[in-house]
Amino acid sequence: METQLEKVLMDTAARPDTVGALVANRQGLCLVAKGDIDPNVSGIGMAIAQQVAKLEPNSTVPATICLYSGNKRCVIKNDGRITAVIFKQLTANSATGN
Amino acid sequence: MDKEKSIVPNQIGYLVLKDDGAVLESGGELKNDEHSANVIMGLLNLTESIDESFMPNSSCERITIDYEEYYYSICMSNRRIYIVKISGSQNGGNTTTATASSSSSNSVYNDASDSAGAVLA
Repeated sequence: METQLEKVLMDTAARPDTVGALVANRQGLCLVAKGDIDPNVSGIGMAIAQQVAKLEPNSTVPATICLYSGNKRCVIKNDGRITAVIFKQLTANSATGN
Repeated sequence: MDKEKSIVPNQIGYLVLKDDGAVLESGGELKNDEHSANVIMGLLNLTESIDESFMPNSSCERITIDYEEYYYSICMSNRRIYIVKISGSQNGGNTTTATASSSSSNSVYNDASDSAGAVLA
């Protein structure tokens, strides 16, 4: 059932600078995780997405949340049914490439 | 008449909070917006413990919340929390997936970081 989801996550985790990626369901349970990411992050990722949804309750398009810590980034997006969490770490190459 | 403090170009509104969540300054669309302040304080509490092994606790120095037409930029500096709502999208407003937004916006994130750093310096 999750074959398609796994394929998408495989592609995502293979992107440059991506450390790992996961998808959580409405309950915050991890559906699929690829790369170096703790599946337990699904719960907190879901909680963050739900908290941000309170900021603009009338918005029809869900927000993309990005947390920055040095050269690390955590991108969270929720579409109402599932939440995606992506961990990224910029390498020296990508930083100078900008 | 327009005495609104301008933190960054294209700003729609701003909030400056103390580390306990008290509103110190506000302006534009976020003037006296305690609801947004409370939601963002809740968000900051959550982000402290995302994943100890990837991002050590309380190491998150900046957060962006990106909508189609505008985005919020949240910075922590000198025990103050600076929240600015800025018009325009960081990633061209055509995101279909989180993947697309994260990969296409690297250079813009750096630009935003530079300008925010300059303001806070």
